[in-house]
Amino acid sequence: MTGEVLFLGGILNFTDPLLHWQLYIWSWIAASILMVICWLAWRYGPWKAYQALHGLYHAFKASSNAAFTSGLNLYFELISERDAKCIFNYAKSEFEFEPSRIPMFIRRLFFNYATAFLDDIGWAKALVYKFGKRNMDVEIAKKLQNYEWEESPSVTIGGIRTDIILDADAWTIKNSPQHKAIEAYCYEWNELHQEDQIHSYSKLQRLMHDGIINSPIGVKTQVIIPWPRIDSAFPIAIEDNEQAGAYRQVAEDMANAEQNQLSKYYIPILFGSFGLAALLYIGRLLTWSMAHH
Amino acid sequence: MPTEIVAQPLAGPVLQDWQHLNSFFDHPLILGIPIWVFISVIFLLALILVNLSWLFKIRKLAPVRGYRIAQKKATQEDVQTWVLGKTQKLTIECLRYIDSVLSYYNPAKITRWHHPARSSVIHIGGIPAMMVSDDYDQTRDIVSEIAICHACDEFNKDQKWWMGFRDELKKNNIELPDGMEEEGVAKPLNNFSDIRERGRLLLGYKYPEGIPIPAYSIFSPSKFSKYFPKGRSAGFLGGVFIQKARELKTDVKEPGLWEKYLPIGILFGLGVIAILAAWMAPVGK
Repeated sequence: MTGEVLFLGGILNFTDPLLHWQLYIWSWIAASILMVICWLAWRYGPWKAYQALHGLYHAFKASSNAAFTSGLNLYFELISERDAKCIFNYAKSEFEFEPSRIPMFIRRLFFNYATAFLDDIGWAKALVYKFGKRNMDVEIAKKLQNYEWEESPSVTIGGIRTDIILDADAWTIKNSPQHKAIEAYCYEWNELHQEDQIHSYSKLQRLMHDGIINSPIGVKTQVIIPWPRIDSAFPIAIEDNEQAGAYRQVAEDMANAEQNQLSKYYIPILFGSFGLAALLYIGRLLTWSMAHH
Repeated sequence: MPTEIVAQPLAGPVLQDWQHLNSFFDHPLILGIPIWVFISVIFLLALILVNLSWLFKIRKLAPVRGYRIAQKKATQEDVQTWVLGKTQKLTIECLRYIDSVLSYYNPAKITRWHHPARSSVIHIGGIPAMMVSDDYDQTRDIVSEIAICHACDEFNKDQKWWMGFRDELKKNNIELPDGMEEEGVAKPLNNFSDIRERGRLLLGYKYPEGIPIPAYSIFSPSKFSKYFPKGRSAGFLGGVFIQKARELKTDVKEPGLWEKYLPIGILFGLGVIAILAAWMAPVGK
């Protein structure tokens, strides 16, 4: 330590008079507080503002599709493909463990339920998926349904394939009586028809529509869309006067755009001339002060 | 004998008032750099990481930025719009809505959509929005589209209903309208003119209360496109708008010369006065 120079000239070794803590300790405290403030600002600022669309990020994280679902009133919600298409929550299944010396709570801690259904997951992948919270229900449902999976030409949002799904009878709402009835019905069906299991709402809908199975009690197979709605949404002829107001507005915009051509010079002229005047005066002041000192 | 004074280097760094060393944190770790520097770097990196991770999360939502913009603006003219492209991309944008017509704020984008019905307004996070696509000049109601596609598919498959309907008409001595039948079977409904010429009428007979659709349906944006009227793209409607607006523009009162040049003249005069004042103002004695 002989003849040693303090790091940064010891500027951060100054201490406060009360606790005698160095400035660098205070800077850590400040950084910790700032971290919390930043986290809260992001969380309750821009992130919360997009709450209805968080499914897009969750779908990206789970490497799955996303789905916009809606009822007949077109109130949309962006949810994961699992919630939109799968009937069962496989994580809630009951699993039997073979006897082992390893304590049960440790086995449960490292157990990934997807390995009970899918053969192609190695132990490393299973651990990564388990602790990365990747949901594998869609893959499981596809496999159990012999890869009979409805994939309509969907849309892509920011690289995430997204289905637009009409759910007119609240099938995808997990607490709804319709969902519970469907779950119970399909569970029984699957027990009896191991080779032709139902794991997706679209397969259930198709089988009900084709009359292969009856609809579960309390579940609607179809809903009626009244003609006035269809006629107004898909007009066969459009009256010109329906758009007349908008034509007039565009005409006004065009005229105003020409008239306002000069207005874009207002600010540059005002600030430019006052700035030039200020520079001129400062220049004169400097010249005068240099000449007299 | 004079005493010789030899300057000895101090044991340890010279400390000013209020400067103190911490026995642990000021201990040099590598290359004489004290431990506190490494800890400070860790804190700095953590701070950067917190912000970058959030920035990354928010950036993933960039395609739906229009949702936030529309939420912020929230005037009658600003409408959150889901734009479906033929490229299958879906973006959420904030468009301008005037008198049943949607358009971009940027005048360079001429695309326009007509909004015919309240029922086609969608909601997301409580905010109303419209759904449009570049290949059709109307806002889209997915429920009605699913209904028309479903009804046409069922009609094309179900010749039994057609036979019954035709027999019923014959029984009541009602003449079958022309162009409805082809070699004893119903002409299929495959495009807009089929629906306009006979489809709407026939589907009305087949489903008098309305069209029944499956309670759970995956919407296909492209499936309905075969029923779009030919040549009615959103860009075409925009072109028609500009053409008609040009004709109307002749009615708009042209501003006079004074009205046009007075404001800029006043500003220019003010600027000249400011420059002259700066040039002539006294700077000292």
